Amino acid sequence: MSKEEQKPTFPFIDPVLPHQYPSKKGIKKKKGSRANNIKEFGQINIPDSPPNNIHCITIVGQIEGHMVMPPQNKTTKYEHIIPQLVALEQNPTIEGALIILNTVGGDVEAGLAIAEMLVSMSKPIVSLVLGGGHSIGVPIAVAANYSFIAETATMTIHPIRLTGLVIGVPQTYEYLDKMQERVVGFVARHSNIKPERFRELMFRTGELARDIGTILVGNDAVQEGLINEVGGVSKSVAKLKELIDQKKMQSNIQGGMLNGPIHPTVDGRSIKGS
Amino acid sequence: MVLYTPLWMEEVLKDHDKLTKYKEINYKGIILQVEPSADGKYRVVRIISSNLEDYLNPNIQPGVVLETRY
Repeated sequence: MSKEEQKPTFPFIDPVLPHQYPSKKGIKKKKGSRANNIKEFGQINIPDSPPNNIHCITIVGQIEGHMVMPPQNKTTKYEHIIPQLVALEQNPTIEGALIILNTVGGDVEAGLAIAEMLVSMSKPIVSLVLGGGHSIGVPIAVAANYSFIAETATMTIHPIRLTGLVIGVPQTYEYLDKMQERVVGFVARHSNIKPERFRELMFRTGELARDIGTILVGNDAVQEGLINEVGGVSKSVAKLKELIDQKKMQSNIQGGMLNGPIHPTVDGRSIKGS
Repeated sequence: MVLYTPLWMEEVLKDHDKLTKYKEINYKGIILQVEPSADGKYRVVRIISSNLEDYLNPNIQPGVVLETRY
């Protein structure tokens, strides 16, 4: 009859729309799902919030790129992240993004692709390393305008291996070295660590049980100049809001025409630890 | 392809011949990772979205079984 009664059609799913669930049946269903959530996932439903201008991307598990990972891996796929970043860039209602990392690394190319995307975004990006931001997670963390690390979070810095984790075609040492230089170069360009120091951390012996490299815990990563600050969600969101305001002010001064850098830079490198 | 991870290859590549039991569907513009069950319904496993509101939507909370139309 009326437009409101027409349900939107979808090939598979018959959703319960928000304006439909205050019926008795709907409430019952909601309660059921809540109980189910607690039972299955230890999660509870959170009350609705007003719309906001910040989006959040979580990068968890392995970063999956050119090859599909075996099913026991928890992965973040670059074909999901990259369109999300493009959407964030072009959507005028979104003013900034928070990147939450808890990753064990993964595909070098996919990781660098995500990192390069983050660097080239015109909107403020804040990253937060929780738990771990290892290997290829490091360039992603430093690619943000401002980065945070939880006090207990770790970042493992180690070489791209000659044996073990190379899959497929025969690789030469030079090829891996080039790959590694891409990572070292990117990290050095977008953080305060010197390439020599980063390489030194990569090849340090005696810290990792079965490998060479370094584990940086929370504050260590800040001291080395990789990450800006130790902090959690509240600090990250506050910083993001600050950067958004800063950018708004800047664009007001410039007549709202330009999407210039929103973070102070010296020779294109961000000033860390400020 | 080069993997850059502190995990060992055996860990990463274990069960490489097995197929994943999860599927991805598009629910009103939101990508959901779902687990199909025997009765043709989908149970939400993970929400793949940057919009924080999607994570607060009770209809697609992980664990919720979506009604399917087969």
